[in-house]
Amino acid sequence: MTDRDVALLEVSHLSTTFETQRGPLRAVDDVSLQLGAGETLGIVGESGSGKSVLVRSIMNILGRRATISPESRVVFDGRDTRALRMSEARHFWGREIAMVFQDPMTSLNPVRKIGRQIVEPIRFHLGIDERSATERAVSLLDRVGIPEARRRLDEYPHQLSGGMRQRVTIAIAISCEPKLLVADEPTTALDVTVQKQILDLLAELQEELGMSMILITHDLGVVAAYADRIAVMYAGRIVERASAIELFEQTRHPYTEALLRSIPRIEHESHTVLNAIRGRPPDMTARPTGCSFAPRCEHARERCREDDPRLTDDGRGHEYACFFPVSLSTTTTPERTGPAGAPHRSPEGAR
Amino acid sequence: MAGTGAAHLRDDADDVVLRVEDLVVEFRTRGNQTVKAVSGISFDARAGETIGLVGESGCGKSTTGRAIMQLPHPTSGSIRFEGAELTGLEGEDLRRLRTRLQMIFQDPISSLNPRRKVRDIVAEGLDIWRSPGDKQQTVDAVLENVGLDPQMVGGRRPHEFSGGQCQRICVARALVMDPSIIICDEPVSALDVSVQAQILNLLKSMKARYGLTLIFIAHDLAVVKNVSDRVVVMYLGKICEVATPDQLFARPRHPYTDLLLASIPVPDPRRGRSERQIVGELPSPIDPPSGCRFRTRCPRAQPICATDEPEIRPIDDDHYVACHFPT
Repeated sequence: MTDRDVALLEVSHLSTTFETQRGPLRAVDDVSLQLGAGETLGIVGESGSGKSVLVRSIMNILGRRATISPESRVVFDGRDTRALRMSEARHFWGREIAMVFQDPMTSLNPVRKIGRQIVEPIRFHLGIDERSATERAVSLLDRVGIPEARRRLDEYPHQLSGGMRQRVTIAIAISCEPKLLVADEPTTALDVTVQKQILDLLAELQEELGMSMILITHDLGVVAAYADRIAVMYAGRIVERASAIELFEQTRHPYTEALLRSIPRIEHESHTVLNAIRGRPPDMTARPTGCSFAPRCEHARERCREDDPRLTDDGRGHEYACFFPVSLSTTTTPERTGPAGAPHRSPEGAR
Repeated sequence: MAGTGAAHLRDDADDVVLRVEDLVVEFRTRGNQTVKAVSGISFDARAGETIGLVGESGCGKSTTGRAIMQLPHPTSGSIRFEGAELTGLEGEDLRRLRTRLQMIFQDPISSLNPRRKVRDIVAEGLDIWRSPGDKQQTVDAVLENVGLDPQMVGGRRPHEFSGGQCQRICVARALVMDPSIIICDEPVSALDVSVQAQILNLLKSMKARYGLTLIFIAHDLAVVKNVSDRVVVMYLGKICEVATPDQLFARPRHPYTDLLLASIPVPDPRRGRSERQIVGELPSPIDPPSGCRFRTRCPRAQPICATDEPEIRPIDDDHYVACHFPT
């Protein structure tokens, strides 16, 4: 099995800032994370929460508009990736860390045949000849469940369905057996039955190749089913992080709790009252002082608007950034009718 | 999967405001082939009801919504709205009747004219159809009802608002015409998770306040279950199952509905992943399978499914299925 004590990826104090017309926008703010070999970390957040910028900063593929702060450190498999020269980085991307993006139509080149798009990175990274690379491409396409793999080599991306295209990008991503696969909303553009096919495929491949995976999504259902640990991001920070079961059953951060209470759930009766979260995520160029969630939090107090809660471990590996965490006795039993119920909190939780 | 059949339609005496019968919508491709987007579906809506149309891309749910609006006119079939047949109407008669049928779309930002002020956007329907009289007051009242302060937002333009607020503006624009039915085509799927519930709650309260009937089109089954009084499941241009949401989700009878439900990742890590295997891809609507359109992917398919199209039939109280071998 996998050895989760040795971190494959260690990110510390990562901050990324973009220069915008309205001033600097700190998209990722002092994020630290560790990922063990073979582990799947789910990162959940809404648009603008910084989840995509976080992984792009880790891979260092953001380009010049972004500034990664000097104290940020990213150590992958014992090497400081921030110190890599471009020539080294090119062998690093794809071979050590590979990525699958949301929209396969934009991550594949529309005017090049699928075969070329798989064979080329294999030859570049593994230095093998055309014939062996082609054979490898066929077996990869076959492995990811594309029927008539050999014939597909001569097809163009538009000739495939969205699900099949995503399978092609997965085949490319695993072609050099990377140690880490980063999947950024890999199924958001796909239908629910196709989503299941793709997520099941990723999970199988991960097991088979012993890869670690970072799975980025806005869908709490996806991380619940496919991640070992989950980090919830809000306004550029991780606000809660725990094992999947802990996070869902012993939710401590009010944002995570509010999200769980606001989504319609298939296991609840129809017309169940949804506890909507008021307001919307903060403008990142004018972040409020104190806790970023305070303006939307039903339980915010004076202190939340003044001080900034840091992510703290409860001693059992469950971290949260909140002065007044949700009490563990909280129930999220929904009401079917009537007004939105007041959240159930014990007095300790509210103190 | 059939779709043909009308066993699930209700009596006109039952306060039915919209009745779609044997609706067919086909499009010509450039290669002169025919895309069979919707192939003979029927359903109805009672006053005050929310009908959920659910299915994956290509099932024809949005085409159905647009066909009701006569955008474009359907290839064949009948659409009766408040007693009038819509399919034969043209010109001013159609436009006048259509004020009673409003629509809300998926992307709220692109469905608002970026150059116009919010107050003018919401007032446009009134400018066209009503005498100027108390227009300002009507617009302000509607804006207030959807949770926007008319003084604050009236003079601003759409780009100054978030997606959720733009969707509120779209709801206001629909409501101002005093419609009987609002067709909501994926109204929350472009919104952030934390904002979706606000809009769903808004639609529910507006429905109660204005006595609306909603046709709610969405791919997200949990959302459809939450808002609907009756759910119509579609696949490749056909209806496969019709039921009340609680019944449909507790006991899906069509193998496709069953597969769809098993595919949803549930936000409960103890449930783990469903072991269900999903085979195959959606067939082309240019050349759909014979008989039941779902048979090529159906775990229960038998030879008869390729030859005979199953008709919709009752299988339980207010529960209808189009399948030879329901689960």
